[in-house]
Amino acid sequence: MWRVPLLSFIAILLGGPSAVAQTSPPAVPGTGIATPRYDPSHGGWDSEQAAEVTSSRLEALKETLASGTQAAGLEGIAAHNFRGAPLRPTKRDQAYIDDVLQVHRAGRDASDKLHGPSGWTQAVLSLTKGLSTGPLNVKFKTVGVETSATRVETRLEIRLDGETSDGKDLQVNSTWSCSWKRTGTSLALERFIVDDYEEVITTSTRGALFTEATATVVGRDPAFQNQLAHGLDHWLARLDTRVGLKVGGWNGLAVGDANGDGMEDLYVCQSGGLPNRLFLARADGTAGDVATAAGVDWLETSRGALFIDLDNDGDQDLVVSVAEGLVIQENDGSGRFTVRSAEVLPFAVPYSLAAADYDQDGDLDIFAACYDRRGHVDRNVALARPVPYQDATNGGRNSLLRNDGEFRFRHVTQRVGLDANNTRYSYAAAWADYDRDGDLDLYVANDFGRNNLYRQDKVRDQIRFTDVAESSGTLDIAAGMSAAWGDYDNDGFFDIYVSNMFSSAGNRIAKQARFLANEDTTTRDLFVRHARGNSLFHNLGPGKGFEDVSVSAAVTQGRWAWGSAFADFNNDGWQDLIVANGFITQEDTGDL
Amino acid sequence: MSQSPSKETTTPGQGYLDAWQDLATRIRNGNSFSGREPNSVFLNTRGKRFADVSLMSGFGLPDDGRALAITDWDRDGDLDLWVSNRTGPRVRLLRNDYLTKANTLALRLEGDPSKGTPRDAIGAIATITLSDRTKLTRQVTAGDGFLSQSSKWLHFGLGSKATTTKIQVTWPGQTAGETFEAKPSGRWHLRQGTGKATAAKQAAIALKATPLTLPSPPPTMETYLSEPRSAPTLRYRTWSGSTATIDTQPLTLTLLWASWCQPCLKEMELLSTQHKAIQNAGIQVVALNIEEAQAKIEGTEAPSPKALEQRLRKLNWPFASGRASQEMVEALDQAQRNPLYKQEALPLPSSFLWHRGSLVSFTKGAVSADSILAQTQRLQQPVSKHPDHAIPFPGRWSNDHFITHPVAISRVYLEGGYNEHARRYLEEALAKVDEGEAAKRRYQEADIQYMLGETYRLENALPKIALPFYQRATKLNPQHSKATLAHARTLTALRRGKEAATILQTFLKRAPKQHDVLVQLGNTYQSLGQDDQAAAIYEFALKVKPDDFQTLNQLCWVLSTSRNPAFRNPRRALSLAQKILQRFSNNPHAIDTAATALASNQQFEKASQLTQRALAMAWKQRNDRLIKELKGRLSLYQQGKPFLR
Repeated sequence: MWRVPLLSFIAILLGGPSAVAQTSPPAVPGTGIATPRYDPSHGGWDSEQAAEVTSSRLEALKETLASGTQAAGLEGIAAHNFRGAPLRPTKRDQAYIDDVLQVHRAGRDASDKLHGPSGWTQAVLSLTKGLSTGPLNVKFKTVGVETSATRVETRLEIRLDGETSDGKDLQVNSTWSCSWKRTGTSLALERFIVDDYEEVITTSTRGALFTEATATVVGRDPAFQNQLAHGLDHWLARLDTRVGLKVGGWNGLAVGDANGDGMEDLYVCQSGGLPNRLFLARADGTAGDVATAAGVDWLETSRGALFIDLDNDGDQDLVVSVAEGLVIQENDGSGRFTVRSAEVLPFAVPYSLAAADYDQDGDLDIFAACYDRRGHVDRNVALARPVPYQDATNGGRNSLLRNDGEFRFRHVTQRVGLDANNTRYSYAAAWADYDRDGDLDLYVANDFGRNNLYRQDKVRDQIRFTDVAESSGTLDIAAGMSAAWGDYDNDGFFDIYVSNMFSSAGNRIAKQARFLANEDTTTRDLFVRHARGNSLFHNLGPGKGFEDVSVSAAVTQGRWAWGSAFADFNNDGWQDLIVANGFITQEDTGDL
Repeated sequence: MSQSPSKETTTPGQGYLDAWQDLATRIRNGNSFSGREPNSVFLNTRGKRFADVSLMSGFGLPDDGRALAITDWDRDGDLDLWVSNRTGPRVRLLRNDYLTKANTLALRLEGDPSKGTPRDAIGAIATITLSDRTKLTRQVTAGDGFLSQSSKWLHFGLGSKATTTKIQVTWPGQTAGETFEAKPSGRWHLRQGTGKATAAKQAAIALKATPLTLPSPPPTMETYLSEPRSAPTLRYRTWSGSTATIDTQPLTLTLLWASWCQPCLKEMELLSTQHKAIQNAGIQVVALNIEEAQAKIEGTEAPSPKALEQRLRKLNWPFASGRASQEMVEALDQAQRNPLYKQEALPLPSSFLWHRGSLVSFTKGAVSADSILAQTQRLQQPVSKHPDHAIPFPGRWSNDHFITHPVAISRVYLEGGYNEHARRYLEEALAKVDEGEAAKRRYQEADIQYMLGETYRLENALPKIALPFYQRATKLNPQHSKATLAHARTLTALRRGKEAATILQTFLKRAPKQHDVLVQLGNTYQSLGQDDQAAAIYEFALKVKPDDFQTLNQLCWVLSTSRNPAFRNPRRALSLAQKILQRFSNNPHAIDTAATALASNQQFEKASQLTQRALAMAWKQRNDRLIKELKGRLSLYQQGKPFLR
């Protein structure tokens, strides 16, 4: 929860919002909604204003890239004494090639080989002409800004995508440093450096990695048509909140073979008041909802779910995390489920579930990552109240439930040592034997602060987990949303990817001298770290800890990230990464 | 976050909380918050760095993406992707179309529970070595990422390299791997201990890609409240200009309309044709025109009352009507906003159904007679059924399955070691005991007091802290066996054995065969040095439960180690020792007791051997206290002396 709080605080503190009334037309007069809008110039943050102005000074550049033809005013961006590098570096190295696409990269180019306004035009055309691009989608993010009376320095992250003139898909990822001369209110670009350049082009005109198949598989099912096809906002505008509907959309998915036919099925969790769905796969790949007949159409807000064989009888039982705790159901083998246990959790609301046989007694135990404390949950409160924001310790306790057979479970969190650092806002957890000592260790991703890496050891024959996040180098103080283990470099050791929040505004503001000016450097650094984005920790091998390779591996830009996973999508033996993101999209585009 | 308390000890200031509230309000009012963000895809460019292909991948959708479940849904050898979203569609399947010539291998591992591995083999690691010695390592998981469970099938992209067919599987808890052989492509089942891969039956499917068109939402939004909310005072003006109030006690439908609103006129026309059915159901209807209120806001002129009445006549409007005041419009607007998370303006037409002074439901958009009649039907059912009507699709509530009684919940917390939480629930339960009949109340309170005592005992508080709770519990319910035991145990520990014995004896008068109480009485006698009485009680307890370890062990111990020779009975002790050794040979305490019996029979060599065996076990358990005691006894036996307490 980083970007907006930051901006809204600034607005509230230093000027207050300026409200603009917005009314939808067919309404009863007098019942419209006035929403405050935040104006970056309002807070008196010179850097925010400069970021806005420099970004708008680049309009003609964006236009040129978007259309593929030189826009009027492009040359006017540059100062007469402009010096800079071409947008598409002349020397590019091939970084990857397979049957489908190739990747070329170039490092920093501060060569200043192009001069004056015409040199600037040439710099831009190096990209459009050099790649012979058609119309492109253009995204600029200002991720750094420094200001003085006479100068503005900005750092931009660029994403371009579209087609080449011969129909190949392309994406260009680049980072630029721009140096502006400031005279009164006018700005002229004096120096342009390409910090990093990456160009991905398909080898043929057949492009996309993924194709939408939703309609084929579930499109005709009434449960999809009438329920899932609509976004949560549709239901939030219709259903009494007291049925438990939540705005955040924190509802998960589980894949598993529910009916034992050898094909995997899909369980879909829904927000309160809407029943969970179970889509059974048919032989032709389509799937149909049978949740009601299967006995798994829970109505309370459901967050995580797992298909696991809890009694080792060869079928997949089901665990669902609802507000009250965990509902645990036994599968009769044919895909009909009976409640065998409902486990309450100590004052906590469960989110992600992760199962493993941590004690190696031959049955699966369940770890529930818990976010809020129960008492904090209020119907209309979309957001938590972390204290302190950057390293909060007022979240809900996670629980480890030991499987004692016959669907009996025992809370063992405390006795195995997992209650240490356990009052954080945990969204997710993942098990892996990272140190390859034969027992499973646990990583927990926490919002608003540090994560946990619990290493399992045997002490006096007793299982003991110790939080080694700090000493192992996996602390990752940020807005942790998810965690996944995978061996991305094929060295035999599991590395960990954690999704967080990337924030352009956070990157800009948290680095300003006046931001939290009264706090110590450590606290200020934490805020800077919070805005960096996702993290990849490279496992250096048993006893050697982890190295934070997020930046060098170029995997921080996951935006407001939620789910993340390692998966080798192109079957080359190297695990790729995928991230689902975006917080709340509504009709109003006045996003913060 | 300028106002966030930055240290753990500081509490949040109002400004910080207000800012969060401000954010929440913005979302509720329809503002985006980091919305329209394309999902990210990073292509691994072989181990050092990734290429950002998000926007060209086909997954760079602007959805509010959440969970990712990865599986080869169509079994064609590449990984497809299920994603859940906050926005519609809330679930998508993205088919993997990356056309390479690479080989792929999918493995489903099955563990053998008799070897200590769960059947799902979670935590098992499979490794494949490619011809260029690249080692692919994959682990079976159940739940990772965010609220996600991906497939338990392990997926290996093998590139274009020919590979060996050897798969190394390390089952959880084992250090040595098991080798399986399989062809370097296809889908295989690997069962622990078989060393053999068997091909999966299910074949690949050709899944067609069809474009997804989302249905447009119905124009009418009906909200049925999960519990009725009290009605505001609804004043309006009659056509003649007097003030009237809507009676919300009987079933009443108020609807808002304007003469310029075509859907309103259409709605009213349809309701008019059904007026008999509506009246028969006992529903009063009042149509309220908003144009006077509108004119006030907009500074325009409203149509004359006469013209509006005329309009109603043209519709053959058979129900009551009048003019809504601005105050009433605001009250109705508030009434539709309060129950809904998403705040939207009140549209025209809109209607509200009242009953017994409360709002039951409302409809934004045109309401039909059928829908009103259906809603009225639901009112026949008890209020507890309202939540079921407030939801649009049937389902089941999980709440009924969870324990709600504070004592039951405190038990869970106690078991988990959360003594403080347990106490909080128990104190809550104590406050609730007032309800119900006297005897039942006493039993309930006794239970709570006992549990409170347990919370202190389990957090290793001093015995005297737990004592008053046990005292109260046994006073309230002298037949509470657990409380009696805990009370007596605590008194014994505080060297108040006589009191303990009295409590236990009182209990046994009513329940003479309560075994655990008998054993405790024996223990208490022991602590008082009354070993003869202790032995007699244990003998009696043994008749109740002949194979009970505690009883056998204590009796054997007393008969072997009593300081008073008159109380010792080496022969009886020896026969008990044999029984103990037969049954409990894995327990170092049992072996120790048997050894004391042998020593009391002068069989010191055997006693030493047994004690050494017990010592080895105690070492393994790192039971320092027992180790010390055993060492002491061992040296006595080696000197040819029995152990006496």
